[in-house]
Amino acid sequence: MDFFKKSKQITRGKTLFSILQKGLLLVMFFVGGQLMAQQTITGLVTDDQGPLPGATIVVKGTSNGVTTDFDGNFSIKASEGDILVVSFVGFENQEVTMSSNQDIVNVSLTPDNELEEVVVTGYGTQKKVNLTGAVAAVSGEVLEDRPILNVGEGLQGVIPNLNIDIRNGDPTTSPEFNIRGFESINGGSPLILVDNVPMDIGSLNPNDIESISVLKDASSAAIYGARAAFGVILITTKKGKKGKATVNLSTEFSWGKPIMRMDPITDPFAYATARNVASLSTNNVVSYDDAYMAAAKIYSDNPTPENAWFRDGTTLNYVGYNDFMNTYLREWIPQQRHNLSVSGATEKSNYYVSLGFIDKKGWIKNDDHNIDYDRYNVLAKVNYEINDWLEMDTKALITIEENDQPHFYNWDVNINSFARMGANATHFPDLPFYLTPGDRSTYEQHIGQPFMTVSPIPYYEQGGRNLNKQVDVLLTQGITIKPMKNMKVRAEFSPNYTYVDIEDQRTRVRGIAAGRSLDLSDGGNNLVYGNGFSSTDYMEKSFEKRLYYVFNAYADYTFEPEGSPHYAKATLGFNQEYGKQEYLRGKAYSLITPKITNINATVGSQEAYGSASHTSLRGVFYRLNYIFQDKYLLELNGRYDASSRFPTDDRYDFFPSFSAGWKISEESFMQDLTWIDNLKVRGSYGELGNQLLGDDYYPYIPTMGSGTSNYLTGSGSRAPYVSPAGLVSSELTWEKVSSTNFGIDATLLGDKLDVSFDVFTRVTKDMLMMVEQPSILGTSAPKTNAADLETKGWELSATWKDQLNQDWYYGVTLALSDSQAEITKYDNPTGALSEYYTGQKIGEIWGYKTDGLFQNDADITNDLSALGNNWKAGDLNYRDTDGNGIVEPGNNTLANPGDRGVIGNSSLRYRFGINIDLRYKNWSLNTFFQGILKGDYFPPTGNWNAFWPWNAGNAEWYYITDSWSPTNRDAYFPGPHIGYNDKKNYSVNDRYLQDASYIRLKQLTLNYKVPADIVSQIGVRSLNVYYSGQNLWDATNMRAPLDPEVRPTLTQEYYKNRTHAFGLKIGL
Amino acid sequence: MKNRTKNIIKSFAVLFMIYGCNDSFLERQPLDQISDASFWNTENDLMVYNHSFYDMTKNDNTYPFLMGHDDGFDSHRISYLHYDGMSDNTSPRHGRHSSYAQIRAGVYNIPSSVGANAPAGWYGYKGFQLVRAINIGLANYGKAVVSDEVKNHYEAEARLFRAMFYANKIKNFGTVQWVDKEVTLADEDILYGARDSRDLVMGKVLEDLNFAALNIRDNGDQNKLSKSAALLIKSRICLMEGTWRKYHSLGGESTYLQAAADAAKELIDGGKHSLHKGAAGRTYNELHSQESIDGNSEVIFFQRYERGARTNHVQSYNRGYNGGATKSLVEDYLCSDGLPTSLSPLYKGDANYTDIFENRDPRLRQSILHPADQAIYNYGNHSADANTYPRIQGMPGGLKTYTGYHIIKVYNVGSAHASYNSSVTPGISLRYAEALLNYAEAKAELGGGVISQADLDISINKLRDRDGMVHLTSTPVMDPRYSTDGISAALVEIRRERRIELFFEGFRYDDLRRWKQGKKLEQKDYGMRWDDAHKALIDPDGKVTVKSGLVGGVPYIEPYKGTDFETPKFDESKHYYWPIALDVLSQNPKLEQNPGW
Repeated sequence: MDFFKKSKQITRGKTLFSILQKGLLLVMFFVGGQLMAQQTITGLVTDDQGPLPGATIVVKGTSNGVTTDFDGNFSIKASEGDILVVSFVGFENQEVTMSSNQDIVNVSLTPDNELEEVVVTGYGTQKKVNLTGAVAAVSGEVLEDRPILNVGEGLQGVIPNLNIDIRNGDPTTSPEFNIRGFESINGGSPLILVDNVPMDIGSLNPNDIESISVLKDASSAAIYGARAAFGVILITTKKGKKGKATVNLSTEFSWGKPIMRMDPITDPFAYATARNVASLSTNNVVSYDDAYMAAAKIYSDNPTPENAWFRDGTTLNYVGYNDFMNTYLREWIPQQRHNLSVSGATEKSNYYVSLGFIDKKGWIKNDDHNIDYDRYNVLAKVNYEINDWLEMDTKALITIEENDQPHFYNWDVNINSFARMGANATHFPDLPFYLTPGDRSTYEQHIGQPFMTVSPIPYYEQGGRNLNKQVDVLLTQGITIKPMKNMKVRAEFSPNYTYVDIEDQRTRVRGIAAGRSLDLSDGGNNLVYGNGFSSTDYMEKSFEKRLYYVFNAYADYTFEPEGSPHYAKATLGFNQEYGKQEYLRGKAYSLITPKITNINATVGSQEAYGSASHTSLRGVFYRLNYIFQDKYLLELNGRYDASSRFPTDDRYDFFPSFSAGWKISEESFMQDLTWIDNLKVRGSYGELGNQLLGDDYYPYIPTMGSGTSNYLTGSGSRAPYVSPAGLVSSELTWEKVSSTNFGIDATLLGDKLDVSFDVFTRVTKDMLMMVEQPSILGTSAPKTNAADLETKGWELSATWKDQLNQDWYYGVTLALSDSQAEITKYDNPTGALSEYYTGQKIGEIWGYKTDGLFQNDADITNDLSALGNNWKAGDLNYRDTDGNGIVEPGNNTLANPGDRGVIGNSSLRYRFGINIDLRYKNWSLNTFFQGILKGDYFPPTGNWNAFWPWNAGNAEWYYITDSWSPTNRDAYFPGPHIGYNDKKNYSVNDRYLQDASYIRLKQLTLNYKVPADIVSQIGVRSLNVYYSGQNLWDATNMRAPLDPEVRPTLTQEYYKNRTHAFGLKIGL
Repeated sequence: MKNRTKNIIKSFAVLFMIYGCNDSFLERQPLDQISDASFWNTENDLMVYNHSFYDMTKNDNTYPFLMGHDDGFDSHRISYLHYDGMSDNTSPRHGRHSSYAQIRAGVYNIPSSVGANAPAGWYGYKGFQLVRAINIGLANYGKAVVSDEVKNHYEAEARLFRAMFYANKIKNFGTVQWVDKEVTLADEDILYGARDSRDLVMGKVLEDLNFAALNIRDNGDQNKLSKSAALLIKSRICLMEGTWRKYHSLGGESTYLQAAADAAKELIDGGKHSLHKGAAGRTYNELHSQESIDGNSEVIFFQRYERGARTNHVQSYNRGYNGGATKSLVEDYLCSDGLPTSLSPLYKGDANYTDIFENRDPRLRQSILHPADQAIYNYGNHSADANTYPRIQGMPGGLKTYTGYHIIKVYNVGSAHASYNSSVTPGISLRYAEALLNYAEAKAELGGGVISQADLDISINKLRDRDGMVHLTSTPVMDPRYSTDGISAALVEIRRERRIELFFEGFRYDDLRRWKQGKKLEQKDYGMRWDDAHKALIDPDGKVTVKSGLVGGVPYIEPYKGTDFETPKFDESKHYYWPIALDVLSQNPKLEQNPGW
């Protein structure tokens, strides 16, 4: 399951600390030597790469222990018959029994067998080999050496059925996590915990992460009860390790190139010609008259700045082409990341402190107005043993995020309009003359003044900013008590404080109210200067404060008598959480001057808005593990939970689960099969609740809405109003999710092949359903627990790895998964297709079948009037499936869907990730591909959405080359129409359904570890240099400009990047 | 060890006491919302509750009554200024207004969802949130400790909203489900019930109107409903229902016609309102182009817009989208002798573009741009537009129409060219002039096509007096163009007066439907005369792209020629009512689609 070998935190630096340690050992040596009749044993501890500093050597059964020095040497006092235990994190322990007169012991440690790997589970850990639930874990190493901003980017495709979607390249956009597919009609998401505290992990520093565990099935997640219905992601942060103090410094610079799949028409003449064809076909008028066409031709043949403008009477028109991509968009977006961490341990304590900094710029070329994202991360952890039964730990996790971007004025002048700026001018031109030779002086004053109508440029150059600052502080104080042998009690209290400060400055911008045409009939006097979309100016400031308290207390007791075939462990715990959110917003209109952006410096009307909410949760949980003969595994989990989100009587519920495993490979009859290292089958069943209702904190309490309307009851009087309460159901309770899981884990061929396979069924029962009621109800239907859903799926992960010889190593890991969901119960009495219905496969796309494009007017025999008017050759031939001569949508019910049927499914299936790891001596190359094998997508047809020819303002070459005409009968698209006037060819249909499968090279990292002899000369412990690329290559059947990963939205504001990063890591 | 264990268990017990045994920990009530139980006490409670009706109904897409203009980009599609695009008054050709053109040409389909395009999407079979809010209010006003007068006032206000909502649904969809209580999930007979009869619904509407007119305060408020508003709304709705019943042979019209006449008469007799008196020669135009109409004696109710609070961009969109007025409209204005252009010796014809303005009802030149008036109105693409007008699609520069007839009613250069969404063009939802027209029409209908001179003198002739137009007599000459409409010459003139006076205010399409004159929409739209002389005069460079067609052998601009809307249809068996959107029907098939769809 674990693709990446556990990291070895090798410490090879001489520090003051290690010298002190040595001195201490020396003292011990002398003191010890005088008290006992022991001999001094010296030795060297090595691994396959050489001496191992910081390894621990303990005389078994005593507290007598030492660590190896920088050169791997140690010396210790021991007597004959003593057993020396040599250990180091990440390596198997080795025991050496002292024989008489032995004074030299050299030990070579071998890396931990992965079977002994320990995985973090809910409120505890478990040996991977003994897991009975569906748990996947990766080490934080997977996130290293990559120019990623957040954990989500790093985990995409790594764990099968941990599905992560990242909508765009905006660093402030949180990735969406999902485990095992469609959750509930009400949505739902995995519970994400950082060291046991629910947190937004978008701003977490990936470098601070020690490990990530994903609890997929009910049995492993049951301990989290009512929030874990759709899985749990556990993130454990790094902590100090035994051994010498280590200082790690990493620095990385990267350059991202926006992934734009556009191919704009750069020739205005070609554009206008094609546009006229479309316009004539739809509206029977041309969009561009002869004069324009003639001028466009001149520009097209000779694109000079003068030719970009032509005179039509007293009007000056633009016919040029604006290469906005190269003029205003950055070719490379810079980003930098720096991390510093210090960790170490003394005998009684350990510590880990890290500082992280990220700076990412946006896509605007102009540096002064570019988007700027900065993030500072601090993690400080101290763990100290007060005495042999008491341990305290303190943690502070602080994140400061700042984002500075232009204020959003209007869609028309957002980055989206870049796409349609091509045929528009951006500034008053500098021409030798304007209407008549010699009139330049009349217009000189206007030269260079910005145009306001479709150009975003004046808005980000002169406009206000949107400043967003978020501070997140998580403090944890924990206490661990070992009251007796084999028993551990832990309590921890974590307040999490989040503070958000947003300042939105809508300041006035000034320029010429024009886009592409200038009326100069009055010598420039009638040029209109205005504020475009910025005439209503305001300052808005908002604060949000979120407090979240988590208290956990849990104890475990291990029963493991020496020599007995029984092993048992019990965990019992209590969890309580409380959250409160407060929000305050003030807005004041009419700034005195755009230069002073403070709410005080305004003269217009003012608005204030506030809100507050709170929620609480409490639960008691247990886990029992039982292992017999190290072969038969049994685990019981459960939780009794209560949530403030439900009515008093329905507030409490019990969620039990159990799982069992059989390590077949341990059976005697298997011992002959030496090629099987490990083979285990396991199964689990459990029930969980879903209380995740998003922001609906009081779904059972009817409340009246209130607010202040902008309806004016008199001059300056906004109308305060109170609106009626909605309908609520008084007997609302949790959605119940039960899941069944069967899995098999196998390690074969001398640990070379590691395979894990799971099948699961997840039934979501009593889904809170907001039935679409007939509109006469006059309000949204209350949520009631009334619908069921079943999700089925499987997941596979397989790793093949081989150390070919001393120099060569390679490993290949595949993660593949699938899931499908179906509605098994839903109250939809009329079978309306606008709602869910029983038997519906989630993601179904209803549409028409088609038979190509009409090649001749005479081919149009069916009545297509229900889909549009004015059918002609080149239009889409919708199939009349019922043969009644009319193509129609029926009444939109299952019983009568007209000629429509299910033509595809938008669920993304067979998601995969392939990781190839190659190492040669000091070089390593890691490549990671990720993608989806099956899924359909019908592009949205709303105005200004890309894809459909002439539906959006921008125009691409394929509009011309791939639209039907009598001479281009095999074209993909129909004969051209102006899409926002005539969408008859865009009714959902199978011809334009897109295959959403893709493969993308997410990551390619080449790392070089500078050899030790060179490194030691420059006085550092280790030095790595690397190159890492993200999103370097992709393949998809999806037609440009659609991007398979950005699919759900076509109005992309912040492009994803292809990123090249260069980094340096230094260990001191 | 034992003692230590005990102590630890003890301390945990204490922790559990603090955290565990406190049930109120899980009791979390809303912190920022009002509960039903603590409301409904004072008059202020009732007032702010009723404010929610104003808040909801300012969404004119869902509630197309008391209409104003939508906000920002949505100004382009929802406003009463665009509404005439469905009729023979204007010829919108802009792509964004193709929904209006589709209705006008009878080429619209059943929309898949009520959120889709017009009709039945825009202005569609939706908005029952308002009915629910009103019915909940009506069930609770009684709880307040206030006088009956107060209670009745707010009840009247609520019921007036309900009446407008239902009358609008009846007008567009024929029948509708009537509910006068809060519907719950238990009311399956309602949720999955059929539509109620027109008789039942309109009977209830009339009850609401009567109660409202009797009990609402006579407070002269222009931004909230008042007694004047109630009377005008009552006359409007009852006239709609009365004439619809009469011309669609549904029977029972006299009750409604009488109620319409009575309500209008009460408003007239009340004497609180009078027609706007403004600058000579611009008094009609001025009312509609002013940004500030506070306290205007003619305006009974308006949607108020103010910078920084509620603004629109409607004029900016509309000037480019309305396409221009039609030949049919322009020719309907009387000549200054009170005779129609078809009869008057004063009519100079249209051989010369400016001749059409000669000797005409003064409202023509205040509604349609005379080239010589460009400076007066600052008409054009900006305030100092030096282009010559009229301008037609295809010509370079300036502000263009599709018909050649530029509409200047409502046009205000400051509002039309205001920076994006910063205009405060008021929405005049109710004005006194309509009451005069409603009165005259109701009286004439009640009189079987005959109306007394006295009734004309207190109604239509007041309108005529405002601009110095000759009076209408009770026995006018029949305009031969309307002689086959099957109505008296007096009614012809009353309807003409209505078309002229209320042009561009969103009445025409509804009027044609209630008069069962849908066939008028089968007549093609034309614009100005487009013979060689006009081409040479207006478009010497031959830039105009709009086609022309022959009317009586003379070429006129034909704005829809070559488009989907070239040959308008009006199927009398289906087009009087709009189709109900598919998603509405699929949720309750018993609503049943309207006939013919």
